[in-house]
Amino acid sequence: MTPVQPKLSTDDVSLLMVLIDTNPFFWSAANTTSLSFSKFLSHVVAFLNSVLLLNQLNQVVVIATGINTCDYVYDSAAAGALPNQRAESLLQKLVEFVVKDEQLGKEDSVDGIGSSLLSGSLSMALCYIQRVFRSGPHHPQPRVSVNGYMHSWTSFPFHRYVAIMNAIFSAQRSMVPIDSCLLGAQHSAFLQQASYITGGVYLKPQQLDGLFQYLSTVFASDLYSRNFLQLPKPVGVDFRASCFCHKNTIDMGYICSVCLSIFCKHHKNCSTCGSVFGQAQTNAPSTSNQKRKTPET
Amino acid sequence: MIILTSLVLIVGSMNNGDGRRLNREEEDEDEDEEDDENGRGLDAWERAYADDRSWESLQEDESGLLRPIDNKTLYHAQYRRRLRSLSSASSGARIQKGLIRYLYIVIDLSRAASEMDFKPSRMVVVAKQIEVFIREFFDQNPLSQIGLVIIKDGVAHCLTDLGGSPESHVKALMGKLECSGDSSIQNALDLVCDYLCQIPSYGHREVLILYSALSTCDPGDIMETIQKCKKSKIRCSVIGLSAEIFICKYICQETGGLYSVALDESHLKELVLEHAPPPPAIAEFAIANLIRMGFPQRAAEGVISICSCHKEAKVGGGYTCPRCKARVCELPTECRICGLTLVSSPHLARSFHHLFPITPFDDVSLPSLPIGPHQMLPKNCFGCQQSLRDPGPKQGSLVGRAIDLSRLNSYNELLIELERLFGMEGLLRDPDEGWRILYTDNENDMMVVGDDPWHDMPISYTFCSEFCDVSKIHIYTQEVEKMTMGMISDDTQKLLGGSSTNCNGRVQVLFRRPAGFPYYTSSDVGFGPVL
Repeated sequence: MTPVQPKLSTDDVSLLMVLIDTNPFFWSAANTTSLSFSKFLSHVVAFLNSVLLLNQLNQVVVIATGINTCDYVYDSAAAGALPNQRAESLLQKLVEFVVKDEQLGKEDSVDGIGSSLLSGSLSMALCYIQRVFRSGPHHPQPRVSVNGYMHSWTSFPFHRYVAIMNAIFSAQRSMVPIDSCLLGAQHSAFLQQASYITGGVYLKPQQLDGLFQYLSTVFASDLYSRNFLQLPKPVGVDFRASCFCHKNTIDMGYICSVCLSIFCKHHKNCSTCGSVFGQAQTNAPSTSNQKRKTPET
Repeated sequence: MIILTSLVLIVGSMNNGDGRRLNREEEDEDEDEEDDENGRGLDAWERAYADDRSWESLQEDESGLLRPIDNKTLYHAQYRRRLRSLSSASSGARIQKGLIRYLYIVIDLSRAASEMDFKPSRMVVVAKQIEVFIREFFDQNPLSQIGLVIIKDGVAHCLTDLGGSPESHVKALMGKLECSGDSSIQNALDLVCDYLCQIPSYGHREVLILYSALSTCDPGDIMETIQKCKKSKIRCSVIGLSAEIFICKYICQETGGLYSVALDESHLKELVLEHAPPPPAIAEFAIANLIRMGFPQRAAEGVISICSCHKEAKVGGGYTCPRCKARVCELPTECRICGLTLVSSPHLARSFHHLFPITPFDDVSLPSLPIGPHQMLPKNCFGCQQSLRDPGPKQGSLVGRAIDLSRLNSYNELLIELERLFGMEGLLRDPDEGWRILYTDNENDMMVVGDDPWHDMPISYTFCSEFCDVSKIHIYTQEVEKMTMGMISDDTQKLLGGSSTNCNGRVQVLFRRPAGFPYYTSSDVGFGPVL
C-alpha cells in the first residue's frame, strides 16, 4: 500500500474528528499505573480548546468509542454549543454515553472480549466527513485523530478486522489522514497501518503525564503547517498478519490462492473455502514452479 | 470454414471508404482523413469534429449559465443499478473469483490508432484510459501483476514484463506513443501465450486487447493460436475502437472473455474499467494452491541500507524479507534473493471485499418502518448527524434569467415581466406577499427597487443612465433577504464568475427560489438564452 499524500491548500481551517476510547477494561487497568481517565479527559479538553482557539472557523467533533456502541459526544458546530460551556456539555454527554454503553453490555454480552469498537467510530467519523465534503466547495480540511488504547488485533473477530480495514481504505480514498495517539503499553499494528496508509501521524507518547504537550505540538497542527514541521517519524510499521488457524501473528505463512486465507502451517485443504490444494497438475512448467514456491515441510 | 491470412469479416455499417483503406499504402493517409471529414456516415466513429453538434450537449443550469450536460449522476445511478444486479446474482451462489491475476494488456499501435475519431487520436485516448485502468487495477487487485504489449508494423513487442508497480508501466507506455504499419492479433497472442505459460498454476491468466484496426495481418493460421490460448487457459478479452470484427468475437467466445466495441470516449472508459474488478473464475482454469508468502515489516524512517532491487544504498523506510533479511523498496514483490512472495497484510485485506462484499442498502419507505405509534423517528442521522427534521439550509437555490430593460417603460411593466419569467403571476405586485426586489449597480451596491425618486420616469432612463448602471436584479423573500444579506455579493460573484455588465439594457435577474416553491424550467415557460 503506498501512502497517500493528503490534499493540501493554504486554507488552514480544519475539521478535527476526535475518537476517544472509553473502554472500561483498559482504563481500570491503567488507573493504577499511570494516567487515569479523568486526567486523560482534562488533557483532551485542553487540547480541544486549543484547537478551537487556533482558528475561529476550526471545528471539533468528538466521538466516544465504547465496547458496545459509539456515539457523538460533542460537536462544536452544533446549535447551542456555547463556547464557555464546552467542557460541561462534553462531560455530561460522555457520562450519558458510558451509562448507555454499560446497559447495552448487560443486555446482550456479544463477543465478550471487551475490545473497543474502532470500526464503528471510524465509520461514523467518515460519514460525518462525507457530509462535510458534500456541503459545498469550501469545506474545512478534515482529519481523524484516534486517542486511546486499542487491543492488539489478534483478539479481533475476523468480520471486525475486515470492517476496520475497509474504513481505513475508504479514508485513504477520500484522502483523510488518520492520526493516532496510543496510550497503551504495546504498539498497535492497526493504528500503525492506518496512519501509514492514510498519511497521518502515529505516536506513542513516552511520558503520559505530559500528554497535553504531545497533543498540542503534534496533533493540533493543520495539514498545511505539517509541511514545515518535523513531526515524529514512524519507527517502523508492523505489516504482519495473523493466521486463521491459531490466531498467531506470523511473518511467513501460507495463503490459499482461492480465498486468501492465511495459515501458519501447510494444510491439505482450505478450512475456509474447502478447496483441495495441489490437484490436477497439468503442464510441466507450472509444476516445477509450484514446487519451488511451496516446499513440503 | 474461413481461413484467411488477413481480415476475416467486418460487421457493422461500414462504407466503401473504410473497405478500400485495407488495401491502401501509407501515402493515402491524408486522403483518408479528408474522406472522414466529409462525414457521410452518422456513426459515432465516423463523425468528424465539424459534424459534432457540440451545442446539443449543453444545458442551462439553475443560474442560467450554459454548462456541458452533467452525466455524472446518471452514470452513477446506472453504476449502482449494475452493482445491485451483480450482487443479487452472486448472492445466491458464492462465485469463485480470480484474485491473483496475471494480465497482459495488448495495445494496438498500428496505423489505425492514429485515426482522429476519438479526440485527439485513438492512441492518446487509449493511453489515457489505460493509465486510469492500471491504477484502478492495482487498487482493486493488489496481489496481481500487469504486463504491456504493443503491436506495431505487424509485430508484437513486449513493452514491460509482468510487474506490480503502476508507475513503471505508465511511464513505459507514455514514452512509446507512436504508431505505424499493420496490426496482427496472432503475433500478439503468440507472444503473450509464451509469457503466460511461465506463471504459476494458481494465477489467473488474462489478456486484454485494445484493438483499433479493422484487419489483422497474420503470418500463419490464427485459429491454431486461438486453440493454443484456449488450451493454456488464457482468458482473452477485446475492446474494439472501430467496429465489431468477427475474429475478435470468436477469440473471446472461445476463451471465455468479453468482447465489446466502444461507442465514444466515456463508453470506452466504462468498458475498460469493467475489467478492473476480478472476474468470476472458471473452476478448472486455476488450480487451488497454498502459496508461501512473507509479511515483511517496514523499517524505521531514516535508516540507511542497501536495497536488493535497485542495488544501491537508500535512506528511508524499506521492507525486510523475513526469510533472507534482504531489503526491498516496495510491496508486493518477489524477493530477489530467496524468491519468497512478499506482501503486506493490508494487501490481503484489500482483496477481502471481493470475497465478502458489502450487501447493497435497501430503500425503506417510511410507513414500513418498524416504529410504534408512541416512538419518534430519530432527530438526526445516526452516521453523519445530519438533521432529518429540517433537511438542508433554507436559502433555496438561485435561478437566473435575462431581461431586456430597454423594452420596458415602467416599474409595473418590470414587475409583470419578472412575474412572467419566474411563473409567479401576481406575487410580486402584491406587497403583502413579502417579496423583495433588489438590484446591484456597477459598484456592487445593492438597492431596493422602487426606493429611488424616479418613480414615473421610463425605466430605461432610470436604470440605464450614467448615475445608476444596473447589472443584476435579485428577487428574494423577506426572510431569505435577512439571512443572506451579508453574503449576497459574494455569492453572486462566485456564481457568475465576475460581474456581468449591462449591455444594451439586458440584465441578469437572479431569483432565490425558496425550498418548496414550484419550479418552472425554461421549457415550461420558453425563454431565450441568458446574457
